[in-house]
Amino acid sequence: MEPNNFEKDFREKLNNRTIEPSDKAWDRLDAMLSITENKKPKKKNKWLYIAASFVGFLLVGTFFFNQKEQTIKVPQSVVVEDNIKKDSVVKPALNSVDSIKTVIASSEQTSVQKSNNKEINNNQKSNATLKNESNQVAESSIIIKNNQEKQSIPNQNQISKNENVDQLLVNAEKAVVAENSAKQKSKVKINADDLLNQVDGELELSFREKVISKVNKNYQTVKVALANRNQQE
Amino acid sequence: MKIIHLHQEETEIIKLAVENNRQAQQQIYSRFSPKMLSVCRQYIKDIQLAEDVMITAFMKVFTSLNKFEHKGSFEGWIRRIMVNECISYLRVQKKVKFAEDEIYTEESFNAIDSQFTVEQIQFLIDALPDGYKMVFNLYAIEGYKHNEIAKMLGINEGTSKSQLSHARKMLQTQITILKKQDNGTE
Repeated sequence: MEPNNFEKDFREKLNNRTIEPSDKAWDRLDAMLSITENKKPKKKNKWLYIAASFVGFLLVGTFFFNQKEQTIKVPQSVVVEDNIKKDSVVKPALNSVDSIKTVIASSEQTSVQKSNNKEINNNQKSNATLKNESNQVAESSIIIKNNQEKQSIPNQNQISKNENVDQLLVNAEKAVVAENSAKQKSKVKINADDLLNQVDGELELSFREKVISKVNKNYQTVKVALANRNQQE
Repeated sequence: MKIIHLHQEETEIIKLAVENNRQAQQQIYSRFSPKMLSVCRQYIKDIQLAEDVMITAFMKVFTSLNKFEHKGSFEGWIRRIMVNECISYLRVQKKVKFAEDEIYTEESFNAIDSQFTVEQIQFLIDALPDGYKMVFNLYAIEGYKHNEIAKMLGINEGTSKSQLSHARKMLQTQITILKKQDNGTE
């Protein structure tokens, strides 16, 4: 279908025609353009705000997670310290009890042996008794060594050196007094700082455990639901 | 050389207009608005409404100016936006519906040799129903093909052809009447 002659004529004449728009037309267009220009930067700002908030959330999130790790580390260290302190507190006490027992035992043994020796072998030389005593004391010191730590060994050596009952008792009394004082001191220390730390650590632990268990539960439910859906499909 | 210079000038102005330079935008507007108002007037009889449609089309030109790829002619690009705006105006505001008849005759009217003024031509086009007018304008004046027109208007290619043949017949009778009147006066 070729365009007709009159159509060609129409086209030429219409394409060459110009109609001047009214003067107001540009003003209206100008106003419309300025409106859209005002709108555009707002949109850009919106995106900027969204991006900024997203970045902010990321930063806060990473900071929060890092903090969590730190808090996890701190209570652990506190707990370890507590254990050490507890051990240090308990061990001396136990040691002291042990040392008292051993001291008493050794003193009894020595006294009994002494009396026996005195009663039965009055004629024997003092050297022999001394030797026996030293042997027995050495035996007891071996037993004590098994129960006690290195700290108590010097005491044992001292005990082994001191052969008299009175001296042994005095030593024992001194040791007991010293240990009691030590006990009191250590107790005071715990009451001040460590108990608070312990309580805080326990609270944090419980909260963390709650959160972890909740997250785990939710994760498990989701996992099960997904698995069920996949199986159904 | 002159053409290249003009082209460079045009690209410079377009660049400025993309950056919302109001002077550049006004330059583009003042250069093309008379022609574009003529294009809009082809489709819309009321000159005030035609101007309104032209302004909204120019808004679209400036907002999507960054999408212009400097490949075809700038005027052709603007013109296409104008034509599309006129079509959407007629379809949305006037709710033009196309009779889906696909009966058309491929007659040619070579015999008719018109010597009309632009005003007379516009008068003849204005007399056409909106559906005929759109297809005739797109096919005969803008030079679109039937498959393109069918896509633009959301109609069948056959409908486009039938609308064109109806428009041509109507114009034919109108032209003969006008000629007779002219001959009678002579």
